[in-house]
Formats: sequence, C-alpha cells, structure tokens
Amino acid sequence: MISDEQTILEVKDLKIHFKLHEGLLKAVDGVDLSLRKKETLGIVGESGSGKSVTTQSILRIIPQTAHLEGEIILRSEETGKNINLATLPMNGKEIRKIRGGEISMIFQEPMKAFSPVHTIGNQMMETVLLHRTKDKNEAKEIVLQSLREVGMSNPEQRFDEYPHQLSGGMRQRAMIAMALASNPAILIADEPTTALDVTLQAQVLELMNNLKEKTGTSIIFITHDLGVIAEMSDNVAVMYLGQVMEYTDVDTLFHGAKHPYTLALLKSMPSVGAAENKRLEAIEGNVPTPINLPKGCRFFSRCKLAQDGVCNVQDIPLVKIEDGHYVRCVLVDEKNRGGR
Amino acid sequence: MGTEATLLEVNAMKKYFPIKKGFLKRTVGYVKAVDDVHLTINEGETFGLVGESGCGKSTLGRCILRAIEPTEGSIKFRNQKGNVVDITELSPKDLRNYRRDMQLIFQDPYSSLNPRMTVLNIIGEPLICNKIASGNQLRERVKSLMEVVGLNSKHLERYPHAFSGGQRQRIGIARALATNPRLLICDESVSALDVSIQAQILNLLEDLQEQFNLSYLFISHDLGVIQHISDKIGVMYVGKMVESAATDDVFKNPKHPYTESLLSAKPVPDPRVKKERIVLQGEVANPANPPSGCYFHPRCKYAKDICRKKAPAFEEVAPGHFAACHFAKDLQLTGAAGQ
Amino acid sequence: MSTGIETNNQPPVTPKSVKKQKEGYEVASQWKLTWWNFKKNKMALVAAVLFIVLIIMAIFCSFWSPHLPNERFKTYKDAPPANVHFSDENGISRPFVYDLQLKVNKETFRRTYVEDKSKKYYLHFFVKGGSYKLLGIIPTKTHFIGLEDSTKPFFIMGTDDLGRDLFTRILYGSRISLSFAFVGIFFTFIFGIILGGISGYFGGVADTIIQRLIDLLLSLPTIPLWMALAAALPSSWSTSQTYFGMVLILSVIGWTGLARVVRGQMLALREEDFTMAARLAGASNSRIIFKHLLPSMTSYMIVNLTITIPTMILGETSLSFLGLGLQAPAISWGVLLEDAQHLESIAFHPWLLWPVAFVIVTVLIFNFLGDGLRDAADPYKS
Repeated sequence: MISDEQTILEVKDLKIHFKLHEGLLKAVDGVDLSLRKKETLGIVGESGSGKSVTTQSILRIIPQTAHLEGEIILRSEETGKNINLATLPMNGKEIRKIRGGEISMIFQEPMKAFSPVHTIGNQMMETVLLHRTKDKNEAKEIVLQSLREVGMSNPEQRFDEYPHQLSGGMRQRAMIAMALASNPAILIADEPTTALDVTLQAQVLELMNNLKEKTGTSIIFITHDLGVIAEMSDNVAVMYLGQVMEYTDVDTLFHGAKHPYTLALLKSMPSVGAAENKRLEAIEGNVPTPINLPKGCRFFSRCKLAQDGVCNVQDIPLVKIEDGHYVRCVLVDEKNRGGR
Repeated sequence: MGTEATLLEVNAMKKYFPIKKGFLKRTVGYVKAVDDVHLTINEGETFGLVGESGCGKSTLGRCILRAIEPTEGSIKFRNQKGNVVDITELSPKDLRNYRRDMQLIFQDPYSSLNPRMTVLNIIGEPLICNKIASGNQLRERVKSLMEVVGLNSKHLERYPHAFSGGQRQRIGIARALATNPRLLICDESVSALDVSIQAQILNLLEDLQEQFNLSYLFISHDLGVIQHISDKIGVMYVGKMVESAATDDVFKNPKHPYTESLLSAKPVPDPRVKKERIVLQGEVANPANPPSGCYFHPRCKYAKDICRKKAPAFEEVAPGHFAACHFAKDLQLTGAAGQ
Repeated sequence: MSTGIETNNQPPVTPKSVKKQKEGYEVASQWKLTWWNFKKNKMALVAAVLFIVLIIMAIFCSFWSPHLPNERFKTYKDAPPANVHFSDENGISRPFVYDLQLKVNKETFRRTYVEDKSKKYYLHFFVKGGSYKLLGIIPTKTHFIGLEDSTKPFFIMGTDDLGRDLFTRILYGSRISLSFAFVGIFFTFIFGIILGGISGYFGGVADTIIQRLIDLLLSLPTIPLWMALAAALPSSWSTSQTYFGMVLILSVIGWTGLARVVRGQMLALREEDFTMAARLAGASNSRIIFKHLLPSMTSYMIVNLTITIPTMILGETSLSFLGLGLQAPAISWGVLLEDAQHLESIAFHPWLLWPVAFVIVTVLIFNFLGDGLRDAADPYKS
C-alpha cells in the first residue's frame, strides 16, 4: 500500500499465530496496512476476522503465547525515527512509552480502561505525567482541559469522581479524554460505540470527529458496523479470517467494491432506507475456525462465485486494481487484467 | 377485542418494580419499567418494538408471556378456536396451555441453551413437558423441526458446544416452534450475531412466518433490522410507548421528536448521504426518577412549557398513527435519510 | 469458530472451544469434556491414580497387612522398622529378614534390637497368617506378603509399645480415617445441598436466616468448638456411636462452604436464559431443579467436596490426637498418633510418626485432585 512521507504507521506481512492443542490458529495471517497523518482507517470484519488482534498487536498487548511475525513500523514524530514495534520487548521501556503516549487506545467497555479504585482525575494525571509534562499543576490543567473538550459537564467535579460514579456515556467520554490527554499521534478505537445506544453512539461519533478535526490525530477505527464505517473512515480495510480482503477509500467501498465478500456483507445488512420487503442476501454457512484452513481463498467455502480449481489452488495475493484500491480475489484480478 | 384478525391485544399494561431500601426492605418507590402501554398484533403480522436499553421493551415482552407478572393491565389473546382469553387472569395450569401458543426467542444463543443437554432434549423439551410426543415420535418431530430451521437432522445427538452462534440461534428457534405457537416474541434475537449470520436468521424468520402464519413481536434496538422485518412499529422511551404506526409511516413521517432523533442518529451505510444529524444531548431518563411532564422534554429541542408540566396522551394523530406528544400534529419532523 | 458475539476483544477463539478435530467432540457430554480437560493436568492425573490406590489399600487393608492389628508380639515391643536385605554373602538374593534379639544396655537400660544373623527368613507372597474375614465376609488366612513363620519379626514400620505391627495398624487406620472422611462428606453434602438449596431457590426469610447461621458458624474458632462438642459426647458411648457422633460434629460445622456454593449457583442458574426457556416450555419446578439446575451444579459440588475431604481427615486426626475423638481400641490415624504425643517416645521410636506421612500424602492427593477438578469442572466457560 501507499507508503510516503505522510505515512506514520505501516504494518507489513503481520502474522499472529496461537499454538493450540488442536493445531495452529492463524488469527492474523499476512496483513498489510498503512496509516497516514490525519487519516481515519476503518477496519471492518465479523467476529474471528482478526481485526482486534491486529490492532492489539500494534501496542503489543496480545497474549504472550502468541507467535508474532512481520513488521509494525511507527514513524515516530517525537524522534523522527522509524521504530519496529514488532521487535520491541513485550513489556520493555520503549513499548510502554509508546502505549498511551504516541499511540493510545479506547475500548468497547470503558470500565476496562479505568481502575475502579482510583479517581478519573488521578488516572488521567498519571498518563499525562508519564508522557507530557513533569509539572503537576500543568498536568492537572491538561486533564481538566481534555475533560472539557470531550464535553464532560463540570470537569472539576468529575476529576475527583470514581469510574463507577459516571453514567455509561460519561465513562466513554472520560475514556476518550484519557486517551487524548497524552496528545497521541495515533488513536486506536476498538468498537468504541458497540455497547452504546444509538443516541449515545451518535454523541460519541460526533465527538470523535470533532476532536479529530481539532487535534489532527490519526485514527484506526475497528467496528463491525458498516454504517459507522461510512461515517468515520477515509479508507477502509475489510478483514475476513485473518486477512485483508479489500482495501479502498470509503466511497469506493460503498459504491464500487469488488470483492465478493465485501459485496455480500453490504447486501446482507438490513439498513434504514433500503428498499422495503426485499429479501436479504445472506452469506451462507458459518465463519470457519482459522485452524488448518485449506489452501486458497479464505472465503471459498461461502462464496457464491467460487470456482473449484481456480480459487482453492493457491493462496491469493492482495492485488492493486486501481490506485488505492486493493482486492484479494483471483476472479476480480483476472477480470481487471483482461480489461486492460 | 378489535377484529377477527387480531391475535393479541395489550391494554394499559404496567409493570412497576418496587425499590426496596434499608434493613426492613421497605418500598421507597417504584421503577416504572412499563407504564401504560397499549399494542395490538394481528395474525401473521410482525410488530417491531424499538427503543434504547432500559426503555422497558424486554420487560414488556416478558410480561406478555407472563414470565414476569405484570402489575396491571390486560393481555387478550385469541386462541386457535377463536375464543378470546385474558392471559392475566389465567391460573398457572391454564397458563401452561397458553404458553404453547406463545414462545420466546432469546438474544444470547449461548446462555439460552442448556450446554448439558443434547439438541434432541433441548428442542424436544416443550414436547416432553406438554406430553405431546415421546420416544420415536419425539425423535421424528425434532428431526423435522431441525430441517425446518435449516439444521442437519443427523446432528440430533450433538451438544450445543458443537454449533456456531448462528446455528445455536436456529436451535432456539426450533425449540420455540416445537409446540406450533402462533406468536413468537423475539427479544433482540439477532443482536448478538454477526451481520452475515444475522441476515440468515432474519430470512429464516420471514420464511417461517409465511410457512406457519406466525405473528412476531420483534424487540430490537436496531432500526435497520426493525424496519426490515416489521409491518407495524412501536417506539418506547422510559417505559412508555411514544409512537406507534405502520413501518413506513414511522420511518417516513415520524410524529414524535424522539423517533425523529432515533432515525437521525442511526449511521447510514453510505458516505454520500450527508445528513444534518440531530444529536440528542444528555442521556435516557432514569425510570426510577423520571422528569415531570413528558419524559422526553429535557432532551427535546421542540419542548415548550406545557411539556414540562403535563404528560401528553398517547393519541391517534393521523389514521392508524399514534403518538404521545403535545405537538404531534403541528411539528414537521424529518424521516429517515435515504427515504 | 465464530463466537457469534461481536463483543470480544480477545483472540477470536478460546482454546477450550476449538476441540473440533477431536473424535466425538460434537456428541461429547459434560463429563467427557471434563475428563478431556482433566487429563491435561498431569499432577491431577497422578493424584487420581494414587487416590484409587489409596481406596484399594483401605478396602482390602486386612489382606495387604502382614499381621493382625491387635496381635501382640511380646518379644518385639518397640521394635524398629524391619531391615529387609536384598543381598547376602553370595550377592543378590531374594529379600529376607533376620530375627531380632533384644539387648538391654546395662548402664542406660535402653532396649535395642540386634539382628540374629544365624537364620534368614525369606519374604513370601500370599502367606498364611492370622485368620480374618476379607471385606468382613470371606474367612481367610492369606496375607499379601509376610514370612512363612508368622511369629517371626517382619515389621515394615516397626511396632508400638505393646508389640503390635505399626504398618498393619496404619493400614487398618486408613480404613477408619478415610471412611470417616467419606461419611462426613456425605452428611456435609446433605446439609449443604438442602440448606444451600433452600437458601438459593426460595430466598426471602429462609435465605436470611441460613446466611446469618453460616456467618455465625464461620466466625466461631473451629478447634475449640470441636473440642467442646467432642467433649460433650458421653464417654459411655460405643466406638461406633462416637464415630458417628464425631462425623456429625464435623459435618455440622463443615457444610457452610458447600451451602454457599449451592446457593450461589442456584441464584446464578435461576437467572440463566435456559431456565427461563424451560419454564416457558412448560417444565415443572421439579423438572427445572432436577434436569437443569442440579446437573449444572454437580461439577461444582464434586469439586467442593473433594476440597473438603482433607478438612475432614485433618479434623478427625486432630481430635483423636487430642484424645477427644475416637479412642482405642478403635484404630485411626489420629488414634495411632496419640502414641506419638510424648517427646520421649518420638526421640527413641521415631517410626511412631509414620501415620503423619500417610495423613500428609492423603491430604495432598485430595488437594491436587481438587485443583484438577476445579479447572476442568466447567468445560463451558470460556
């Protein structure tokens, strides 16, 4: 994928395998991604697609039993150097400095991000003191400022409250405030609105978009909801069983997607405003376990267009079919070559 | 009860949960989980119930089944012979007979199946308990039910752990169908599933409806799913029904500001649709301590003085279109984007 | 495998849920899954084997032991553990022992035994000895191991001050000590399930009363309470009466743990969707309890009971050791240890401490077994 001076994070041929009794579980198997400055990269996929594991590996917060291969290059703005996060020691000084510093993360469940026994303010102070300033008064100012920015009413009071005293929406805001307090270059958002009701989701999405405008943070946004993808992303990677199936800009995804999986996903979604009483085009079958998968396309078993002897012969590469549009499908690949 | 075609009619349903405090567990107040709700479902029809978490939609579903006892109200149900019975007045024994006609499909395909029982025993449970079938007859009946919901009937002796989420949900549906019910209450039945699996289950539910002339009370927070499957829709907010009408009417021509903001909040899966979003401020009111007047007034941009003082009545504001808003007839509200 | 639920941040698959390739995985019942998980824990597996050995040892104790428990060898009082020889002047030989001769030191009056090397007594399997009834029914004289001449000294773990074979007595003691634990567990089980079940299923006032009772019992210091209760047992009671009296005392105090497990499980399972589904399917209360709730709890109950067994064994041992529990002529590990109360006797006859080794090994077996069971007990949690 495009890699220029604007790129701040590049993932190359990332593989994350788990050794289980039953065989090798290939949770992530050869993923390439790149993130540019001020870009929001959406990663969409069903459960088991490896979208969460991919992003967790960037911060190296995957289980120690996992076998990790490939490169995760961070172009550090602070030092101007390239750091390969994949080779840093798991709990070493370097990666801890990056976690919550240059890259921070927000989760689906805000209670996971906070310790229940410390106040919101103290937890945020800790992050700020670690990554931004050594001066306590300045740190408190930064914390209050970021609480204000995420729209928390009465930040001085919230500062001294414990996570459980906040309502669901407020907790989500507090988590975003904490993630942004260290002024990160990259924000990873792992299904941050999945547990929220639509009206709260709308609030949080609006907030994230506003903050992005203001701070210029790059965002990796993981979700299973194509509606949220449409609203938040500039570019989108569609993942299935540990591989990127299609990568393109958001407009092309919804109006010119090429991969059969992407197309099927779009059609299987009941959406507000869709033509009425039209039968959904469901994808047949179930998502297989990524253990001992047969050769060839991961989507072979469920794909309507699959051709025996074509799709299941060898592993399919991710091919560029246009600038900024990559597809992992033999059929699409052939069609395009023929057309040229 | 309305017409011949009416299967279920819920009137003035209330469910208040007492709030108990202190050592003596004295009741200090009530959570009005369901507060004066009316709804009717016709035979072969799908009624979609939509609202945010805590709005009482699941409680309402369970009250209709009398899985929890409603505080007040009547549930009139037309049985196969055409007689109308008030379910709230049934003795436990009669209730058991009526439950054959009404079944629940759960949200979580994991906790709703006993992991220690085989598929045969899970799907067969209603048949065994109601003494409908046993032995070989039971096996045959369960096999045919499995085929109806798209499962391989050879997998009769398997345990739930051998099935994926979508397949488990099919098992749950087969169990619900075992007694030939006429009304299925689907409580967020597709919310825990992946998009591609969700579509399979929605299609299955639609096929079954056609095949067996089923009626659904479909409870969901997902407007896309609700619009897709429902004929009629009810929108709930803090225990009250705020709007109810045919699906198209609600989506194209909402009459309640809350419905409008719900429709506007739902992200549209098309980046070319740029809409002016109404982002509701604040959070859903606490049903233990609701605001005065209209419960929605603190978040409503159209709120006037009367909204703070007087609770609006749930009235017919257009033919077949009910809403609980003082200004339902006056406001020009925006429907769903892309309509 | 898709977990179906979109809400997981963990790797998509948990090890426990992907045994797909395994033969018969789809139709494996709860117990099979538990066994598969249990097998992975090698320590627990070893403990399980030892557990079976222990049970066989206790049941057929009369057969394994070379002598009878109350047989007194007047010439061999306080004899040390036998020195079994595996080689003689001609090299390796079949195992044999020498006769023992008592020597009294003229100055210190200490009695010691020296081997009389004039004659070798070879060990034999299935020798004839004192007559007993196997399992209390079949009269026989055959012992698993011993000397042809059963009057000669073959004391694997020495003898006590009355000249009784300690090894034999320990084996007989294991029967009482272990059966004590199992009978105790049986009563604990009954108290725990009934009281915990009432507490959890019906709730309300009954729950409050039972919970306060548990709090009260747990706040009492155990040993003084045991002692007080044991002291209250009439001294005129026969051995078996005392036995059951003590079992009841230990169970009355020990049921609290199980009751809490049962109550907690009841409360949790009552709220499970599948319980609601059964109710909607028209299942009666008893069907829900016996088909859904109890089978879901059994594994937890077994684990809890396994972990409680050591408490029972230690309780019996401590009480008997203090002279408050079983009394001679009953033989239990605790009773045997009563002999080892005096510093002097331990100093001169350290083999009297052998029962301690048995207690320790037994308790460890149950603890490892319990650990393994606990990890394997619920194959459905991820």
